[in-house]
Amino acid sequence: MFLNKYFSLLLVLFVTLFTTASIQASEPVKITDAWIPEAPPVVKVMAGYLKINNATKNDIVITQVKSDDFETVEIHQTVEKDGMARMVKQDKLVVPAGSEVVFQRGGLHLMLINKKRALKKGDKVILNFSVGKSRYRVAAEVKEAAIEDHSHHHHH
Amino acid sequence: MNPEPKKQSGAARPAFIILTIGIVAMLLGSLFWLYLRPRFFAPVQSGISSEQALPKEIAAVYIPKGRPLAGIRLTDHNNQPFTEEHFKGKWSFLFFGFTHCPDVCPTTLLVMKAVWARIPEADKQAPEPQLLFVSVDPDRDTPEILKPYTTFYHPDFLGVTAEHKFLDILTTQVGALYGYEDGETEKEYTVNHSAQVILVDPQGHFRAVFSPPLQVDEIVKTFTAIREYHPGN
Repeated sequence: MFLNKYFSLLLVLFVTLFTTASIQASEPVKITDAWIPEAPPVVKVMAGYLKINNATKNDIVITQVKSDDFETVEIHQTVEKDGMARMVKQDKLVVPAGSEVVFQRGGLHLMLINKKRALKKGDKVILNFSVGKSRYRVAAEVKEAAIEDHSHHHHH
Repeated sequence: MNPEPKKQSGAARPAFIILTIGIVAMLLGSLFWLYLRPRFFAPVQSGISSEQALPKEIAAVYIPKGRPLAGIRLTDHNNQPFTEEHFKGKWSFLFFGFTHCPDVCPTTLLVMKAVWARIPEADKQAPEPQLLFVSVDPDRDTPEILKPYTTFYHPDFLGVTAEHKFLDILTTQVGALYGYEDGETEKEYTVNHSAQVILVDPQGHFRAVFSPPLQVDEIVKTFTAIREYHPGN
């Protein structure tokens, strides 16, 4: 009887420890490097770029992004075909198991629609991502936008 | 840099003959390339021909004879008329977009800002080119919005727009396209547009097209080559 109880306790302890450890080790979803290019103050629509890393064994689906600083946040994909650029709204975004999706210029980006306050270099915008039942809160910094002239780095 | 073949006494060996023929062929080839080719293929541009060849590897589609632009009736961001006369005397880069465009338009304007920083390197004497940001969304992009938008990226960039019938006169002449796509609400429509950068020469002729992906270094080098090649640049 005593032995049985002892074993149960040990088992519970073991299972608890194991689960906690696995949660901490895998850190399932990471959203990093979020930033917003500084835009002319007259502009109401801005872009957001970031990385979403899914280290879990399951695909995750981003179903919604919200921010108190913008009326609406949408996920868009810039598609350039035959010299024409268009933006295609993504109602949801799948990040496959064990992979990373990068939002960058000329590709996936957040479309931050109708800003509610002036945003300048150095300001932080909180973005709330809905991934299934989980919520992720990410701070995106407004940064000066510049295109690097790569030739200066490689050829000179 | 062709090495002179060494004189060999006695009967010529086959290898020597082949080498000699090779060198002669190379010399003739170089001669043809340097001397005769410009005469055969010289572009004729209203009676002026350029001795300097345009490099083949330019990162643009070049229109040898150019295409004169006519009937241009735009309004710039200072509420001033912009006609084909405003193309005269300087090179112009044109980009079509709209201010509610968060990704492609800022990226292109930032590429052009980086290009602007490098253009004077090539020729300090040449007149400065102008950059026109042509809004194809005149309903939302009034001059009051266009000016702060365009000058944010560079104080010398000029925003222009017009009613659709006048916009179309320009876009059809340079092969640019644009169209509207509904958004969530009536005000939130989005604009699909050509992502190329158009180059107009100082005579007001449509001269070249840069297509995405736009690279700063490629644009600088190509523009410099076209400008040097162009008669009376």
